Amino acid sequence: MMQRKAHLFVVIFIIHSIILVNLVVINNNNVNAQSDLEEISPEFGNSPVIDGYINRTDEEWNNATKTSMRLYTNSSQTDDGLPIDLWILQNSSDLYICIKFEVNEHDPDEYVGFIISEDETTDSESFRDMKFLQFSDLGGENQDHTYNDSYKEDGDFVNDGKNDGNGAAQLGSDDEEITYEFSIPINNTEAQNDEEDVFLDYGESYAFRIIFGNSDSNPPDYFKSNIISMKIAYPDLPPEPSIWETVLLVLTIIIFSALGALFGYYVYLIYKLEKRIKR
Amino acid sequence: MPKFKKKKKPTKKKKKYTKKEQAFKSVKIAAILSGICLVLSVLFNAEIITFFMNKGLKWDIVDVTIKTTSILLFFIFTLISIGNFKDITGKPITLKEISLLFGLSLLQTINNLWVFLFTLLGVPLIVIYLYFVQK
Repeated sequence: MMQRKAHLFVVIFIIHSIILVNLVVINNNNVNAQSDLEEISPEFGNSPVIDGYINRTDEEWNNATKTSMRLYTNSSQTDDGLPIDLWILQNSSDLYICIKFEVNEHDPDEYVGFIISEDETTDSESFRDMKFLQFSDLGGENQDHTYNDSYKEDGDFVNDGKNDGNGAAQLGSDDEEITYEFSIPINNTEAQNDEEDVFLDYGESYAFRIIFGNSDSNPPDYFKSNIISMKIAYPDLPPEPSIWETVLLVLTIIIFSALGALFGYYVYLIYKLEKRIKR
Repeated sequence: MPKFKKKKKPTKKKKKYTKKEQAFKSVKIAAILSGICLVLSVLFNAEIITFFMNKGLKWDIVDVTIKTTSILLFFIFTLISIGNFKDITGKPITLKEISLLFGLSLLQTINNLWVFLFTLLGVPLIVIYLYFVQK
């Protein structure tokens, strides 16, 4: 009887352990899915000119947060991925992103951009604001590019009524290296009220899916991408005065006002004395 | 002999001031100078003008010097003015009034510890100096 009970206890213990291990593993996976995202806090700096050219003499992008990452096919990490250099900079009004990479042969209809999530979440529904730069005849005689801003409506991306932000790119002289530059408005009150753009607020983090593709369709289906988390920093606002500073200010006003009043009273006494002497 | 007699210019008669009037003139001049110093003190010690502040040690010294000097000059001129004022009215300036003026001078240093220390040192020195000068 005791032996049966002991067996039963061992079986229950094993089942319990398996369930527990599974729960821990699933939970860990979820945590990893969140923490796998590379969080980037952009540095503050002077706004670069969005022309696809990094002007070294003007020290453009010098203060940028610089990182490297790879863009993978359909977000799976089975291929080697496309290595890119990512430079990010912000000021109080805009977020600036520079994407630089090298490929042996560029597609004439190449595009690069990003889809911005409403917040930090990375499910496909959350990514609803797409901004990208679409080339036509890249490397050819009629090379041109357009900056596109679109939003998700009923599962499809449609063009915004107004393009918020800016983008430009330039192909290097070797026809291999290319530099994309973007600017996106931060704390844009217009975006707060419309459905077309994600409102990038100070102090909040947003998932950015960086996309690279060569589709001619507009908006395109991305074929290489990766996700980063971007924390929008507060601008350097003057610090709020402390209570002590406020008290000091009030005291200063009172003291000097009182001094002024006393001096005024003394001048009045002098005036009265003058009258008395004249008499 | 000169053909023309040199005309004598009518000399302006110097107005003779009585002792009281002279004392009152002194009251007025000292009060005006004291007022100017008070305005300077308000501008610098209330930190309305912060031109010299936080620009390095040299400028900090200039800033503290301007602030302290304006307070000390305010103290001197006010003390002279009040002293003469009281003299006209026939009463001597009391220790209570000097202390009040000392307090008012120190109150102006509220925003700067260095100005406070130099004023705390300077005002008694001025009082001692004026006391011995009078003696």
